[in-house]
Parts: sequence; C-alpha cells; structure tokens
Amino acid sequence: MNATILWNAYQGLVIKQVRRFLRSWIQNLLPSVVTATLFMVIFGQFVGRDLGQVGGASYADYLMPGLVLFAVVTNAYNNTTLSFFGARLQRHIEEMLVAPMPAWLIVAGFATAAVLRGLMAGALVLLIALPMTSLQVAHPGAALLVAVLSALLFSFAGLINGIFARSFDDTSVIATFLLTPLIYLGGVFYPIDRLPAPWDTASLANPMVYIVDGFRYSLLDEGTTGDGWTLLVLPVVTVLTGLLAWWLVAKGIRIKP
Amino acid sequence: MTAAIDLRGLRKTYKGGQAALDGVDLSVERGAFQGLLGPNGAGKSTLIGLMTGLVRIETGSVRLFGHDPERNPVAARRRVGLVPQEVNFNSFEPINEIIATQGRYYGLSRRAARQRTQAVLERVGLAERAARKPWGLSGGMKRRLMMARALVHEPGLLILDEPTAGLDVEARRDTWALLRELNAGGTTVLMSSHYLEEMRDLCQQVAVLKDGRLIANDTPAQLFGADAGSGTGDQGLEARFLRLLEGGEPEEEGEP
Repeated sequence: MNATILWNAYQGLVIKQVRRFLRSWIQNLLPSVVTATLFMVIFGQFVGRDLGQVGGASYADYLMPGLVLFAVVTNAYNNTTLSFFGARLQRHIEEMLVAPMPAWLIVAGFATAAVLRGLMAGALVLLIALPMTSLQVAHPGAALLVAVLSALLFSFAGLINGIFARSFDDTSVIATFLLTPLIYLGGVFYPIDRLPAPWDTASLANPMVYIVDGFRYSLLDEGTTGDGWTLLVLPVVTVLTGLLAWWLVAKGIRIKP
Repeated sequence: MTAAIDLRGLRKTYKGGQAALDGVDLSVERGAFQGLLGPNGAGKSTLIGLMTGLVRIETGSVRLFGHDPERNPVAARRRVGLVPQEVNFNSFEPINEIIATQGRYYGLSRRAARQRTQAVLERVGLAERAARKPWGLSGGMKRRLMMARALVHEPGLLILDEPTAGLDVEARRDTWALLRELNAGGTTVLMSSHYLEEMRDLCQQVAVLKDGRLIANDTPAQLFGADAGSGTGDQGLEARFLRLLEGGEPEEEGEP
C-alpha cells in the first residue's frame, strides 16, 4: 500500500520535472549541443589537426569525452538548481511538503529528472560529435555508469545550491565561478600530466579530473588515472552529497520557517 | 476513535525571538467543522503550517488521525488536504497538470488522478479552463483552483487558511456551500477566517487564538452569544469578538 503511494508520488514528481525541462527544450537542451559542436569543429577539427596525438588519441577523439561529460554534469546541475529554487520561489514546493512524500523521495524525484536531462544532453552531444571522431566506445558499461553517477552527483550538488540560493543570481554563481572552471581545468582539453609542476600535482585535487579521465578511459581505453579511481571515488562522493541533500530537505533548512 | 487532529503543547518561536505559538493544545474530532479565529499575527497560519508540514515543529506534538506526520508521513498526510492562504501553484503549468500532479503526490495512479482532476475541476467550475495556464485567472478563480487541488485525493481532513479572503459575495457563498457539502459527507474541516459570520454560521466549534495562545474553544453560541447578529453595534459579532479578545465573557441573552 505504502509502496504504491510512494511510487505514484515519485512518478508524479519525475514526470512533472521532465515536462518542465522539455517544455523549454530550446533553452534547456540546445545550448550544450551548440557549445559542444563549436568546440568540436574549432578545436577538434581546425586546431586539432596540427596537434597530432594527445593522450594517445587524435585531439578530436581526446576532446569528445570531456565535452559529453560537460553537457551531462552542467545539465544535471542546472536542472535541480533552477527547478528547486523555482519551486521555493513560487512556493509550489509546498505541494510536496503537505503531501505524504518523505524527504528522500523528494530528493530522488528531483535527482532522477536531472539525471535524465543530463543523459539526454550528453547523448545529443555524443550523436553530433561522433561523426567528427574515429572513436569506438571501448567500455560502454563503464561509460554509462560514470555518466549516470556524474549526473547524479551534480544533480545532488545542484539541489543543495537550489536550497541555499536566495536569488536567481545565486543559482548561477556556483555553476559559473566554480563548476565551469573545475571542468575546464579538469582535463577536458588537455592531459594533466602535460602541465608543469606544481600544476600537474595541484590538478589531482580537482575531483573533475577523475570523473573526466574515467569517462575518457571508458570511451578511449586511454587515460591518466584510469577508471579505477573514478569508480572508487565517484560513488562515495555521490552518496555523501546525496545524504547531505536529503538531510537539508528532511530538516527543512531554508525550506520551512 | 482517534481524533482527526490532536495537537499537544505546540510552541513556535521564529528567528529574532518572535513567539508565534505558546503551548497550544487542540483536538478536533472526526467529522467536525472547526473554526480557527484570531487577529492578525495571532498564530493561525503558523498553527496550520505546523499541522501540514510547512513549518518546522519546535516543541510539542502533532497527530493526524493518530499518526505522527514526522515519523509516518504517508499514514498521517495522505488523508489531509490544504487550501493555503496565498497562491502557491506553478503558474507555468496548465491547470489540469497542477491538479493531477498533486493527486499523484498523494499516491493516486495516473488514471485515477486524471479522473479526479476532471471531477474536481467540474465541481469548482474550472473544467473549461483545464488545459490553460493559470495566468489569466481572477483571485477568486485562483482560490477555486487551490480548493480543487486540495480535494483531488478526497481528503478526510480539509484544512483551509482564510479560504474566502478577498472573494466576492457569490464566490464566498459557493465556497460555503461546498464546505457544508463536504462536511455533511463526513469530511473533517478546519478553517481559519477573519469573517465572524462564517465562523458563526459554518462552524460547530471555534478556537480563538490571541498572541499565540488558545484563549477559547467553544461553540459559536457560547463564544458570541446565541443572539449575536452581524454588524458593528454593541450586540454585533465584532463587538462580542473584541470583548472576548480583551478577556470578557459574552453577555447573557436579554442583557443590554
């Protein structure tokens, strides 16, 4: 009985959130595809031809996994940040708070929709970028696992941002000033072992390095750290971030007076 | 049989030390029509927020149909519907999606949510606008939409925070008729309002809050006097209500 009620509530929330981002798909899904296409054409094709092999692959092949993951994580992050903040701002989060929905179910519903948006954006980038590469997916299962876990991690992080945001400016501050630099400096465009000391060592403190590298390894079978680190670190960080998001919602921090 | 609502020792202090509630006990039997009355800032909305999960419980306990909503939200909340004081739906969603999604949140299947959405929208007179977004709705229509949303899962307990505030006479009377019909069908109703006539004519019992304390909980006849009419004169409801807030008793029938 309870399981049916909870399942229906979860479905309702996920469908509502998916409808929300599909209603404005031009605004929500297209920018990642356009950005990734421009990067692939300019850097992968025009500039990359002169670079030769990078990280054991052509530059276009090297670039593509990072761009796919960039689309996955930014879409997942932005989805929960904006939808949760919007629900707080318009107060329709109260529709969930009065209903028989435990905090974990609210977090799970928002995260599921965000993961779906992240994977959709990533799949679109992959579809457009693949013809510009000679890439064969080396480990598809690992690639999917890293993509899903990364999307989940960033959906939780976005939810936390959405909980604490006081204005629309606050919803973009973390994405612009923390997330994007971490991704750009996390080995999307270059192998970190090419950096001079101490930046090569300092880069190892950037969690995006492991995520990007693990995803690249699962696609190219080439990487600096190997996907072992990714599959070790990513689930732990994802669970911890998810627990923090759940705790904040359960306690009603910045949600209930 | 357990009460529909059982509140014990509820206290709530907001940031800055403002005490909104100070040890409120209240029990509402199943099938009752309970009023909640008090001046602005008395703690009515806070009390409703604590009952419905919108405000964090600080001290005291809330039981809905015998269940603790913190520990067992499914059992406690699935039979409760809320019509809030302020608009709190997503203006970018079509009306029928707002209602159906709320039904899903309460555990209805997709088909049941669709059927109930149609039924409640017809009941509140918004069926023709079902597929539209609520941008163009008047204040009264927005209230009807929130009423429909609260009823989609056929709650056994309906809680309304000033549901008729700002409504014209006709809309207010429609709301009264709907509430009477629901209560006659067995739904427990708890309603806050500033309209004393509403309290007198609809409620079987009226709880009066002042400065976060429950200062009375009695039948309208006991609170306002059996002969209390409307108006602003000495015998009017307003005068009797003000005397009640000042700590005076309602005057006996026949006294000047």
